[in-house]
Amino acid sequence: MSTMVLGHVSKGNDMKIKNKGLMIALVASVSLVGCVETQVTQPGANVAPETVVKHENDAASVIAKAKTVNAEAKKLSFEWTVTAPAIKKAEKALESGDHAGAMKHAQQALLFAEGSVEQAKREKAMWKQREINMLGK
Amino acid sequence: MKKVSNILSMALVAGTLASTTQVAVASPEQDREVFVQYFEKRFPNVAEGDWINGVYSILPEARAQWEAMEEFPPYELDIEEGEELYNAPFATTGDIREGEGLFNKKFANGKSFSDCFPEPGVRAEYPYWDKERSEVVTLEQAINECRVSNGEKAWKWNKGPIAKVSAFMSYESRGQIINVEVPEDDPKALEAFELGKEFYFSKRGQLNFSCADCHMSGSGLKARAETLSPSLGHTSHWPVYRSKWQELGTLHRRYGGCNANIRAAKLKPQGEEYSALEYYLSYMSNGLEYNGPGSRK
Repeated sequence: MSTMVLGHVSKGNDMKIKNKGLMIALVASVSLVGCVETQVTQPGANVAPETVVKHENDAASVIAKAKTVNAEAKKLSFEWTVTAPAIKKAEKALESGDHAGAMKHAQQALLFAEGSVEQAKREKAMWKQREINMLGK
Repeated sequence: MKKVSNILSMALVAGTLASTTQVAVASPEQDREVFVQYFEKRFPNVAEGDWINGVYSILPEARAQWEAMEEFPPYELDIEEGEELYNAPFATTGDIREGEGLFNKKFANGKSFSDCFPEPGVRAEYPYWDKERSEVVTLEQAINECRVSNGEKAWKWNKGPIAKVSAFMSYESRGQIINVEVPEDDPKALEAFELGKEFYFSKRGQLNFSCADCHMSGSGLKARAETLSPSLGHTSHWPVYRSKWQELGTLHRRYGGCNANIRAAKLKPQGEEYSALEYYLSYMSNGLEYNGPGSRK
């Protein structure tokens, strides 16, 4: 479903604003991931062994956190379909020694997982108001 | 306590205590009246009771084509097979077409669905709130429980034989009136109804959509090339033969598909959430006819 359709359907409620927020968050995350990637793939690729190990641990740590947060989202019945594939990509990249790629996907997975948990919490408070707004109660 | 907390949250969001108090006392029937009025106002040209035809109730240009298809419906053979499955002793079910040779299955007790249901045309009795079990019971759930209680393995929920038997039973029930009850003497029933309503109005998935975004405020609008159907009457015509599936599928299969479309993980078919959603939406369609099985794109 395209963003255009999404905005069209959301006419009259808060979806458009929320999705702008989501888009900003996604752009921010991509920028963040880009920064991480830049750090790892700096020219002069003769990275010290201890740095490699550090990034490996960092990626593993972010993957673990993404898994934990996603498990919470699943428990709340608000898991997103994009989270688990991002975790898998991160794990695969880590296995193949692509630490920058692992960090990139892990960060993305964590962002998705945190977004889904945030959505669950927000909707617990917001759904009733949405009913009132839509039905004109 | 939880209710108080909810009310306070609503007050913070709404900014007025008065409006939240009004909602807190709304009964399911008041909810249904407002729900129906919404769609009647949004689509004033839909004939009374025609909501059961889904998107075709608001798309006259596509309706003729759909009605032509319904003259030789794609689910016709499924109904016949569902009837065979319904009437066959459990020893033979599932193998009539598949040729698995289960006629000689040792643990079969020779009973059939007719030992669980007084007649196949009982669609209007589902979903219902079972006070003793404290849960919503759907038709598909009752079909599988009949099998299990007779020593048979439960069928998978979304498609295949369960959809065929459900199609046969729905066909035998055509014309029955949807009349779901939320018993006032059991607060748990109202909780299940509210859970279904909460699911319906909650945004989910990466695309941040609620059921209501598409099928209430978005009904009649386009999602890519498709027109979004109104929720009123949504539960009347299941199971459905979807051209996209090239087979019959159950209502909970469709719920899962809708969730996947908005990038929300599918929930368990016949789990608490989807059954509550079916309970809520069926109640919202009270007074309309059951006309399943149906066919859709």
